[in-house]
Order: sequence, then C-alpha cells, then structure tokens
Amino acid sequence: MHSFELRPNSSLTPRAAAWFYGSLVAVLLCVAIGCTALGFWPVLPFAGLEAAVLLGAVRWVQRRATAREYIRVDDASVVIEKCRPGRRGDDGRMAYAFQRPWTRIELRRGRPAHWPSRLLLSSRGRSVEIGAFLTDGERQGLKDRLAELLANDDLSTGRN
Amino acid sequence: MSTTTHDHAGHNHDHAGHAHDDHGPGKGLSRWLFTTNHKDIGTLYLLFALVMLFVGGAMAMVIRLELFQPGLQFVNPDFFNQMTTMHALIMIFGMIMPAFVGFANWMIPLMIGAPDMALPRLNNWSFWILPFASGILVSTLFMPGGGPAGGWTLYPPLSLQAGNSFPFTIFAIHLLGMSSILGSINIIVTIMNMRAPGMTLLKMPLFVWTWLITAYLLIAAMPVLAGGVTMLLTDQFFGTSFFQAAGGGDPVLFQHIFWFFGHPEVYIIILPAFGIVSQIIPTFSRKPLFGYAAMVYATASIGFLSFIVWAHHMFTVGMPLAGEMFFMLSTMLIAIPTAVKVFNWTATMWRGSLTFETPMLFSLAFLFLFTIGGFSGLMLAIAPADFQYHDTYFVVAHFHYVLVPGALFAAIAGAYFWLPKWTGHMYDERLGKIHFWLSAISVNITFFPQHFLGLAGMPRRIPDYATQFADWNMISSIGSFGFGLSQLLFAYIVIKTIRGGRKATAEVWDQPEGLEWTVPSPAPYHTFDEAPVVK
Ligand code: HEM
Ligand SMILES: [Cu+2]
Repeated sequence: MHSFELRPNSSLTPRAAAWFYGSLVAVLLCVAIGCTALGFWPVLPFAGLEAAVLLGAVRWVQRRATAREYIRVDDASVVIEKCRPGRRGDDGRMAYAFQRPWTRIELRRGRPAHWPSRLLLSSRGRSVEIGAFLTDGERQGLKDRLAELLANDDLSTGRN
Repeated sequence: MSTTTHDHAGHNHDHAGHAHDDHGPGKGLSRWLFTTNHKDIGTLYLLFALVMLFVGGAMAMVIRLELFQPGLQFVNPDFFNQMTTMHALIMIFGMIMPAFVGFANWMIPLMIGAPDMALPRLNNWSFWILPFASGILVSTLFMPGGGPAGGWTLYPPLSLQAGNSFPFTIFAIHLLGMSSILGSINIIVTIMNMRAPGMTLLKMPLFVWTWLITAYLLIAAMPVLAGGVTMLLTDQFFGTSFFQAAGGGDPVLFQHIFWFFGHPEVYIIILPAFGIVSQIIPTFSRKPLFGYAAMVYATASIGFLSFIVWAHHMFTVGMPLAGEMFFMLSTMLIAIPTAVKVFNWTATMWRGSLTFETPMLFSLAFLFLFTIGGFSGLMLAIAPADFQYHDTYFVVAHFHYVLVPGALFAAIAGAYFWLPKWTGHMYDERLGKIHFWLSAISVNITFFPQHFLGLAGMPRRIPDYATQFADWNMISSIGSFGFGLSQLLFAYIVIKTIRGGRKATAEVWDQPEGLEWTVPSPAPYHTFDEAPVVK
C-alpha cells in the first residue's frame, strides 16, 4: 500500500505569526494612542479596524495551513480523504473511495495558460480534485507518481 | 481494504461530483470581475495604472497649457486649482500606488515560489474598489462647484470651502486608502506565509524586501490619513472643531496629521521603485547586487526614519526652534541610507559587463535623476533655507524629480523588464530605446527649469504669474507636451507586445537571477518543474 499526505506550504509558524502580528500591532498602537492622546481620537477606530482585518487575515492563513489530503493506493482501491480546516458544524472531512482498476488520473492544464493546473482523480463518472493548494510543479510531480502507481498491476513491485 | 472498494463518497458525497468545478475562470468580462488569480489581478492593476497615467497626464497638460504664457488663456483659476489637486490625487493614489501593487501581485508569488497570493479573494476586492473610488473622485469634477481645489494636501480651512464635491472626495480617499491597505495586508501575509521551503528572509529578492517594508509603512500610516480626513468631515458637517480655530481647534494640527501620513507615503512610493531597480541593475551588469544585506538594512532604516521627519513639510508654520532643528537633522539623516543605496547600485555596475537594453536605460536614468531629487530634498531640508523655497516651484521641481524620473521611471523600467515574462513576447527594443530617449530628455526640459523658477520666487499652485517667469515656463510647458506625447508611444509599445512579437525565452535576459526566470514565459501551466531550489 502506498499513501501520500498533502499539506499546503506555510512558512509562518504559529510563533512567528504571533511575533509578526505583535510587531505590526505594536507600531500601529503607538501611532494610534499617540494621536488619541493629542485629541485625535478618530484615528483609533481606523487603527482598530485595521488590526482586526490583519488578525483575521493571519488567522485565516494559519487555519488554511492545517488542511490535509491523504491518498492511499492499494491493490484494490484508491482512497482519498480530505480534511479541510473546520467549517462550523462539520469536521471538514470528506472521504472518497474508488476501485483502483477504474481510477484515472488527469492533470488539466490551466485555462487560460497562466492559471493553475488541476489534478483530478476520477472513476465511473465522478471525480475528485486533489492538491489544489500545491504549486503547479508539485502537482505535476504528484501526478507522475500516482499515474505510475495506477498503471502498475502489482503494487508490491512498484517503486516505493 | 476490501470493504471500501465500492465507489462511494463518505460524508458530504453530494459535493463530490461538482466541488471542483467552481475553480475555473469565467468567460469574458466575468473572468476579470471575479478573478482571484494573482497574475490576472496584477494585470488589472497595471493596466488600470496605465489608464490613470493618461487621465492624470491630461490634467497635467491642462496645467502646463495654462502656464505656457503669463495671463489667463484657457481655464479659469478655480478650474486650474481643481486640476492641480486632482492631478496629484490621481497620480499618487490612482496611478503609481496601483502600479506597484500590480508589480507585487505579479512578481512576489513567482519570486518566493508561492502558488498564489495568500488571500486571493481579498485580492479581487482590493483591486475592484480602486476603479470605483477613482470614478467617484473624477466625477466630482462634474458636480456643482466642481472638484476639490484646495490642493492634494487638503489643508483646512481652504479644503472645507469646496462645493458639493467635498464629502465625495473624502469618501473616495477613504476607499482608495482601503484598497491600499487591503492590498498591502495581502502582500505582507503572502511574504510571511507563502515562501517556498528554503526561501529565508535574507534570501528574498530585494523587490520582495522593499515591499515588505512598504507594507509595514502603509499599515502604520494609513489609519492616520483615514482619521485625518474623517475629522475634516466631522468639522464640516457634525460641528466638531478639531481644526477650526473658532471652536478651539487648530488648523496647523491638520498639517501635522497629514504629513505624519504624507511623508511615509512618499517613501511608500519610492521603496518599491528601489526594489525594481535593484533587480534590474544586477541583471544588466551580470553581477550580483553589491551589498545585499546593506541594501536591506538601508531600506529598513529609511522606513523607520520616514516616521520622524514629517514636519520638514511645515518649517514655516512657526515651530519652536528645537522642532526646526530636530526635523532638519532627522531629515538629513535619511540621506545616509539613501546614499548607501545609490553607492551600492553604482558599485554593482563597477566592472560589470554592462549592456543597455531599455529597462537598464530607464534604471540608469532613475539613478542619476532620482539623485538630483535627493539633493534638492537636502536643500529643502535646511530649515532656514526652506523659508525661501517653501511653496515655490523649487518644491515642485524636487518632488517631480523623485516621482517622475524616480518612481515612474522605475515602474516603466520594471514593465519593460517583465513584459516578456508576462506576455511571452519581446517588446520592440528599437521603439523602447526611442521611448527612453524622448522621455529622458523631455522630463528634464520639463522639470529642471522649475528649479530656476522656484529660486526666483515663483509660487506653486497659481494659474498666472509675473512676466519675469515667462521664459522658463514656456520651456517647461514645451518639455511637458513632449513628455506627454512620448508616453503615448509607451502605451503603443505595451499594446503591441501584448498582441504579439518575437517569442521570449524563459530566461528572457542573459542569465538573470531569481526564481521568476526559471518559469517559462508566459508564466505557464506549470510554474516550477520541481520544488524550486533556493541557493
Ligand atoms: C533625500 C531624500 C529627501 C529629502 C531630504 C526630502 C525633503 C523634502 C522637503 C524638506 C520637502 C518640503 C519642502 C517644502 O514644502 O518646503 C519635500 C517635499 C516633497 N517631497 Fe521630498 N525629500 C526627499 C525625498 C523624497 C522622495 C523619495 C519623494 C517621493 C518619492 C519625495 C516627495 C516629496 C513630495 C511629494 C513633496 C511635496 C509635497 C507637497 O508639498 O505637495 N521626497 N521633500
Ligand atoms: Cu517629506
């Protein structure tokens, strides 16, 4: 059995994120509090708004970075499990199972050409997109590897 | 595993069949309206900036036409003042800022090896706010009483005497600021979060560094502008008196507020320009950038210093002596990191094997002419001397040298540099060189004489002048018409390159450095053949 775990690249560790956000807000607060002290309090709400949007942005990318996709290929089946960072009310998990002999992999190039490519696993008329968060090059590599596995009748001889 | 071999989707199976279909671009206009692709959005920003260059440029032509001769020939003084005000607002918020955000959108993900910007949907909004806000701003010209005419600096009480346009102007400025803020939040989060493995901060290309620092400046300075213009609004309509002397306020305090934003803003404009030039000069010198780390630190110290020099714009308002001294000296300090940069660019070229394609020509002109603007800035920074220069054409000459052959030339250089990457076609080098020489000569004919006019005492923002200023004004106007016409050639070259031309190779130039050149041109259906290797 072969399994893959796909995860989006995130160069911002939670620690670095806190540091980064803290340093920005510290500057922002100095400015806003300074202005308020001089009587220009209308600067404060704008600074607050900005800090809030920035916080939202940082938290959003941090949460998105927890997305995972697992692909397992064995003799009989291909199982895809997608874990998206939790939406409210569901755990964001989706699982799909295909029969291996009927499963095809397709890398569709972007249209227009500079749009990202898309990698689809499909079987019997239904398809699942994988690796949407990868770079095009990484998707290409993943496709080559999966195509190799899907084409191979005896997985035990497949390169591991 | 045999239990799961029948085709089924676990939970949420309804989504399985179609979940992936909403990713593709729409058709025609809706593709551009709803696009979240960083390259599409970069293109939108850049084309929008090009259009606004001509809108703001047309206003400049009106100004120079009226100033061609003494006396009032073409427009009335109030309309003239609307032109100076709108020209500045459009060029700063509608042209040069969007141009650099466009460069950031296109190039930063490629430079750091990211699949896209960190916040693609936000990216779409930050762009589309822009044409909307600019539309509101331009529409004020057609309102009863015309557009704002009190100068782009919006000093009260003058700015409060505008007609119906006043609240619309403020609203437009809010929106333009919001667009810049959302754009820079996206850029800063992209740089922090989306770097490919191995791309550490001190390996980032200088263009990325300059934008990182620019985004810090924008985030710190913008709320002050937003608060400032809001206080103008409440003073006008809600009876506050932040800046109204009659109610115990002080109009001079608005100037402090404005310039606390305004001076960082001018560096917000010039830092990405520094970044672009720092990519181009090494490429055409075939040498790595001299003193990379020094460049990064110089950029950071310029960023920091830009927050403590603001009152050099208001030496004449009657500050205490200590204030004059402080702002004079802190301003002069900025010359040090700036000189480090100029020195390093020069040292990069030293003993390089130089070639002079159009992007390099514009970068060299940038180097020389921006430095002239830096020197006139130093002259203005001398507080006692500024009493003579302030509010004269000398200031106009100074800031046009840093903004036109400075920021704008850098943007044009960047456009020529990356057009082959964006479109897959080479631009016409011969036309590019003609464009360069026409621009470089006419920009000097336009703005150099304004130094003389200023030193001789001609005030800025006037539609008519005393006859002793006639000669240099006529020359300046002739230069400006030449400059305006030359930019039509630029638009022609850009359109021609988009539509076709010799195919560009992936590298485009002779062994350039950086991840963006490992990508085939036009940046294509696979961005990196393998996970990019960062040296
Ligand atoms: C060595 C660096 C610089 C120094 C020492 C400097 C100094 C000054 C001073 C003292 C003034 C005020 C003059 C007055 O109103 O009497 C001024 C005005 C101005 N500067 Fe600079 N400057 C420098 C670089 C720049 C750069 C890089 C930019 C923009 C890219 C810039 C844009 C402006 C603008 C737009 C104004 C006029 C604003 C207005 O009153 O409408 N300057 N500069
Ligand atoms: Cu300044």
